[in-house]
Amino acid sequence: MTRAAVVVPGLTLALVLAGLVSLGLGYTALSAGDIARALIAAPDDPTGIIVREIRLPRIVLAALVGGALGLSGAALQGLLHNPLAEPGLTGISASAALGAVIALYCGGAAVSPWLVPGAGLVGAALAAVALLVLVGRGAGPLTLILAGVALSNAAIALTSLAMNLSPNPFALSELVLWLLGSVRDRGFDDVLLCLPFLSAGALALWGTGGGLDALALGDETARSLGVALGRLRARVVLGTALAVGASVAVAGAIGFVGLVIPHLLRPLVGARPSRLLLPSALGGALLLVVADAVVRMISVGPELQLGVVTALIGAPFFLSLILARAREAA
Amino acid sequence: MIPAAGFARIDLENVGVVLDGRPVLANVTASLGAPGLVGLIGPNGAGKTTLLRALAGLVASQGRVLMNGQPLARLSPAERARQVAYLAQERAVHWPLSVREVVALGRLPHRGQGHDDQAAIDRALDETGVRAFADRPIGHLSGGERARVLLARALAVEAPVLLADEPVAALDPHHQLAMMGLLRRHAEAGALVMVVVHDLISAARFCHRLILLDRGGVVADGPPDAVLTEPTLATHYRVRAVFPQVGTQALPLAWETLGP
Repeated sequence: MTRAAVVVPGLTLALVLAGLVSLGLGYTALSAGDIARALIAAPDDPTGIIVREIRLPRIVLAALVGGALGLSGAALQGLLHNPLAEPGLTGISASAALGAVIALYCGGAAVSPWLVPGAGLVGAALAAVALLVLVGRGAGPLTLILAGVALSNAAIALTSLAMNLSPNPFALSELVLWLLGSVRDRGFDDVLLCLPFLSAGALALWGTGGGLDALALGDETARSLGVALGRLRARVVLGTALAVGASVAVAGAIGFVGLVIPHLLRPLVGARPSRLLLPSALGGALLLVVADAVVRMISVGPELQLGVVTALIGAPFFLSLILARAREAA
Repeated sequence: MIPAAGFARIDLENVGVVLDGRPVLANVTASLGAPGLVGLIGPNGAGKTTLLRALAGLVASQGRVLMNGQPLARLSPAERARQVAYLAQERAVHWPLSVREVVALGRLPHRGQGHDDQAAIDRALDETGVRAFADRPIGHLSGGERARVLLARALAVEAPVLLADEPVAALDPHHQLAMMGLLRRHAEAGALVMVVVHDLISAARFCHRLILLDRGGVVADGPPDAVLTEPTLATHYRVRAVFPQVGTQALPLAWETLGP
């Protein structure tokens, strides 16, 4: 069996195992037997509540969000034929975060639990519309990247303005913590909220593999192979906006996953963008489930935010990978 | 006239292309009705690449392009891609794909058509002589090897028409001869192959027919010895050519510039 053939089953198995182990981790450590009993326990059983209503939804959410980020990152790197591309580069993450921050700033969290994530989705949609207008006008990879950087910076500036104007330190810390990204205290309501958008986004990104592969040979050659370039770009932008917008809306801005995961997997499955989509989704899910478990295992000090942990794990790993490549190339 | 099975006939009727409000190509009329290697020649800016791109459907054109009597514009992108293979001037490959992966991309238009893609890929690898390094990353190859791999990618489409934009540019003499020989053999096997070529000697030696473009229009069209004459080269290339005899053939050698 080739290395590529074991990657998908291997990652799936690792993801399931990480999820199960993660169910037992936390303030109350649980054995495998405890978890099994908790899953079928009565509704008011305290261990049952911990497992089913606190830990399970956050693990499921971490997997969904990580999967969305990994998949979008792989698709974007293929579309822009740029190894530095990631969901954050398109301005979609920052715009979704801005939407959520505005809702938080206006006290939306107290009005309805749907308001903050809803506003995040609206932010992502606005960024997507701006990008889709550019795609409609025939914008190429460079224009899309530049537009994404501009959108990102505008959204970050407005987010900073909201923080600047926040009425008191508590409001400010709420905004900052939210921005750092977390799946803490999320319930199945959050899972249900993001699931339709996330699935629609994943579905849109799914069928793009062949077109993304052809783009490896440049835009002209891809078009000569029958790839409808405008439609492919629109599909990736839309898919990313749905998947990442929904992720940011419920879990905040979690960086590095979309950038790092495709890089980690390329040596294992090869460089063809179509081959990277599924493994990147699984790898992203695994990374966030593990990062969330790490967060819960550290029992000293306040709980770390997920975005902080992914960056702390991701950045040195990424740097060592790049150094290893540079040594190889030299 | 009914074309032979597997062979494509292309008729251009008053084809024109306007880019950014500027006419780049105007009133190009030609019938490409026999298999063979057709060389598209002309000075820089004559519209050679634009004509190829128009034929490949990569740029909007006026007039009509008929393939076996049917307007090419009416074909879906995938159907058109199965009929017309295009080898772009751009040689960049953005990811470290293996040679076989690059060649396999030529089968993309046939996806879901129930064809034997592996056999077509192997044929293309064999025809261009790159099978020996099929599993190597394309980034590790020399320029000449890479050019052959990209040609194999275009051949793997197994389209009745192959358009190649300057396939021998930046190749050393050995690889230029090998590449032109490959294209000629492919044409002699029954395909309509149209190739943009700058080297007049290659054009004279390998092409069955030459179409000379200048300022967006066809100025000469016929067998190489009828097109590559001293007055034609003086008028359109602004060079004085000499014609040394090699074997039975007099080959055009651009010798000195005329005018500024």
